[in-house]
Amino acid sequence: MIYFPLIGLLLGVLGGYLIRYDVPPEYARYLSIAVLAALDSTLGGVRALLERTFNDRLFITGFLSNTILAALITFFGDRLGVNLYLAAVIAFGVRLFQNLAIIRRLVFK
Amino acid sequence: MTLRVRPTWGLFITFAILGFLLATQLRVQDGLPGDLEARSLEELTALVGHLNQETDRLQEEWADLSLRLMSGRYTGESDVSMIAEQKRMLEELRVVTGVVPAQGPGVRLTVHDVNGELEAYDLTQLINELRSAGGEAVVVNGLRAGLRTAFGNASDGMTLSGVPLTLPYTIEVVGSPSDLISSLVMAGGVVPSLEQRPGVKVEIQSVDSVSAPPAQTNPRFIYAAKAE
Repeated sequence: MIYFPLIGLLLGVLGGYLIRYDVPPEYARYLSIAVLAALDSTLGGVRALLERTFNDRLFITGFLSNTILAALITFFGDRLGVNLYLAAVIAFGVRLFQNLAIIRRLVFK
Repeated sequence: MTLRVRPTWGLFITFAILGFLLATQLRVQDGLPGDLEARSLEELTALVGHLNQETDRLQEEWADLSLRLMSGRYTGESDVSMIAEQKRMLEELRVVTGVVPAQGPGVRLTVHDVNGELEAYDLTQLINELRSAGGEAVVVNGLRAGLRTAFGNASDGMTLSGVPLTLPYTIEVVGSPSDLISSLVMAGGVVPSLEQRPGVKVEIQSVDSVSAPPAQTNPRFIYAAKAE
């Protein structure tokens, strides 16, 4: 049942457009970094799936903690006057591309 | 290759959250007004500083160009037209200072003050507002307000350069009626704030012709000399 998560994704997108919850602009940064973390976790999950090491409990806890921690780190960075936002963007961005490369290799193996 | 994922609700919910976050983020990014609010304080400070510098530079340029325009105007004209220009300026100054009688379209204000709330300061504010809105000649109760006229507080009312003023105060101004009225009645302007006092009422009417007599106290210069 690979379609099961896809249906969830579609429902989530639909929900996002229907509920129209507007994040206040001062929190938009935190949401954007949370989205990046969520994307990274998801790609990590896909990679683990292809490597047959996928563990759904690990995946879900990783997804939630990464998302929340990314937003929290950005928040504390703003409070401390350090641009930790950039650190999070780079860390997640690099991992995102690494995961993509590994997925590509696994698919075309 | 085959993929087998146990269909758990956890996965379903995780992906639903991801979809929700993505959709919300896309919508929020679309709705941000010029992304200024999303920028950090340092970025905004730098932006403001840069804009201030730009404003200063443009203001300097403007002042420089106006100076060049003025000097060009005087060097480029013959002596005859320069004299005519200066005569016209002199006439204008005489009207503004109240040395000569003046006439023209304008506005008449009738200020009612039943309880005696108003003081010299209030009428001064009113006259200032009229002058800054382009009022060229001001008459209060038939007396021209010139350079050396001043309001004073007396025990039973107000005086204009020592002459007692009787209620209601009638203020006539020569100037563009629409400009004068709009600056008087704008929200937070001088007339709405005066009318907040009990018993104070200001009637404003546009008149075709205001005739202003010359001021009784003309400017005399004993200490001041022309600066070169």
